Amino acid sequence: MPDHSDSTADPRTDRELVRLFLETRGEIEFRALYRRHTPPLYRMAYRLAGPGLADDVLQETWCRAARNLGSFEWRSALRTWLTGILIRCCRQTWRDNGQVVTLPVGMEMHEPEVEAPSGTELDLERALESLPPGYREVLVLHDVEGLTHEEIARALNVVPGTSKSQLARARRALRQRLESGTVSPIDKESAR
Amino acid sequence: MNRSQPRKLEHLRRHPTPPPELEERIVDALKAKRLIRPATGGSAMKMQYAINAAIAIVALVAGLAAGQRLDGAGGPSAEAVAGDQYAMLLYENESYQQPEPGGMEARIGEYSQWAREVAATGKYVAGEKLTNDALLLLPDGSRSQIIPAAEQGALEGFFIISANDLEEAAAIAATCPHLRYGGAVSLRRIAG
Repeated sequence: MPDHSDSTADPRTDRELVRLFLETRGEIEFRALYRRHTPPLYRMAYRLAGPGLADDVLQETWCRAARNLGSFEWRSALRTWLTGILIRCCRQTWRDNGQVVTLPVGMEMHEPEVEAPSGTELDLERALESLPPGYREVLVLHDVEGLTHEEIARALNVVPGTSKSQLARARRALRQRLESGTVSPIDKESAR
Repeated sequence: MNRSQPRKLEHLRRHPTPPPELEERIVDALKAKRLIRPATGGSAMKMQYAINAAIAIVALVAGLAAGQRLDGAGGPSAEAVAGDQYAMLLYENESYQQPEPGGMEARIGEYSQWAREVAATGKYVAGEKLTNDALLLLPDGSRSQIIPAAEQGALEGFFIISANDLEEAAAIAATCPHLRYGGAVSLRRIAG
């Protein structure tokens, strides 16, 4: 039975843990990395892929990470790199569910508004959940998890300016849901 | 969006937390894909000791070899040193701080320098590296491979020093760099 008594933070750096993990493929080092980085990754998976798919997304994220850690060049923080993997796993989930990402991120578009069906007020979590994937992505990364635009840019393989403009539109879309109960077609169809 | 909304979104960072059983599920999945070594807690610990030992052996071999060369460079011979002789047994457990990547040469230099300094005082006798190919002979005639004890770690090598008593030997041993890096040193007086 694996030892779960080690609930304290491992003092070793990410670099040291990764180096040891790559040398031994050791369970101890993997668990240390898992426990350090999973809480934020899980929150992102939960909000981007949904509660029912968060576990699967996280598992696929760690599988890909374990497989490709040897090629990680430390040009970004390990968590940023892991976030990028998680986002790609989420996008795969969206594609599997027919939510195809088609809008070039950062593209300016007119946003006509229509009345939301129910007109009921949504709380913040539900409003976030109702956003299309592309908006939810940048809001979760920036406003919930606190990543900088530079980190988001590295994780999503875009330029920082794209992250900024996408965030502005995402906030606007969220505000629409919170304040007036309206929904924009672009949110549903394009900004995934 | 009003200015408080990003701050409110930060509050979402507190939850949800990953389900505890998810760690086992992911570890099992990675084991099945051979991305991590299938090892129980105990054997994983031994694996870590083995890796640490492999790294440390390089430093010890170089350090001890440098120490042994001192005899030929005018240092005192085993016959010339006065007082009792003590074996300094060098152990490593998982708390031993391995050198950072690229730092092995500096670590070797520290062990070598320590051996030279002890030799300069006439207290250095010898140093040897111990291999991992050991056999434990038991009173009942059986044999078993020696494995590292969980508390003190793997025995990786030894120095022999001379000292008038245990306290002086301890004072000399206390200056060994092995202790600074989290290794343990056991002092044993050599009979005879």
